[in-house]
Amino acid sequence: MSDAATVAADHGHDGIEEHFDDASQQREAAAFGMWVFLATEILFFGVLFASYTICRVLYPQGFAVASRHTDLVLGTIETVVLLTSSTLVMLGLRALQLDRRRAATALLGSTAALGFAFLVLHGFEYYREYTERLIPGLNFHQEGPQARAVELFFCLYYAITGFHSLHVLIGATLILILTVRVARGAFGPRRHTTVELTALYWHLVDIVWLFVFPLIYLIGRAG
Amino acid sequence: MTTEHADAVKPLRHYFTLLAALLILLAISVGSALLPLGPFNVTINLAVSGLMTYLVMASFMHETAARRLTWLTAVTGFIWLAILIGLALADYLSRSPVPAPWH
Repeated sequence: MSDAATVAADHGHDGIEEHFDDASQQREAAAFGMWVFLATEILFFGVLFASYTICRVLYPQGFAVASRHTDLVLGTIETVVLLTSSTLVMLGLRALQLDRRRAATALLGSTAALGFAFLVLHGFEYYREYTERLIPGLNFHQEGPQARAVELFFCLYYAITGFHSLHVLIGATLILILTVRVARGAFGPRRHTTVELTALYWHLVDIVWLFVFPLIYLIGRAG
Repeated sequence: MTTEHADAVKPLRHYFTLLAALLILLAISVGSALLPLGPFNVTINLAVSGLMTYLVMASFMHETAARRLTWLTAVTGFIWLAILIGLALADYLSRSPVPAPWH
């Protein structure tokens, strides 16, 4: 804008599409597009959270009983894994801004690895729930007055964590692809919008989990 | 100008402090869930999650939303979410359940 020399230099670079005036305009347009998508994602998960809220209001005791069937230790580890991965992806972006390509590759690769580790941990949970007959429609058998509410809880549990895991899978795969591209030198200190916006998506997936975790794992734990 | 600001590299300490803060908040959330606090259990859990969300957004995400329009878009997502849950709850909390005739 004020810096005409920078604008001219930007035009010299590859990677600026012809319908944009300069790099900053292109970057802002891309960021705007990503945020519009993230707003729709908030509402996508919002519907699931709204369903959860209503059911929990209607069956508070049943939900507390059901929550105690989930694995608090694994859930906590999964939260740590996602928070760490969000930090790593930012460190990877920072390394890219500083033109440290090898460090950026390692950090982004670690982020993707943590994403896949999250999915493996969740797989262990699903397997244990299968053996404990907690999967409605597939293998569900619970006794007691709260059995129906427990079934409802686990329907919501699979819808919410299933869609969240799908997002983790997509995010980790995207970051893995970016890791390969970073290693090949596709991005640099002045060209990293794709990495930055994928990191944005990754943070949103992290934020969704920050609410899934207390609502699924942390109710009815006392007493 | 915005781009130059956004491209300013933060020190490593910033990232590690933030991660430490997030992990401490997680420990508070899990720890409080083990105490019998009644309705305050869920209040603390959600307040901590909200604070963690704020930290992640303020530290990791806000630079991409530096433009006013982008920022508004992000905020709009949360406003619609509040309307969705708020109106749904207004209905369910204010209505007394009417059992079906055969119940």
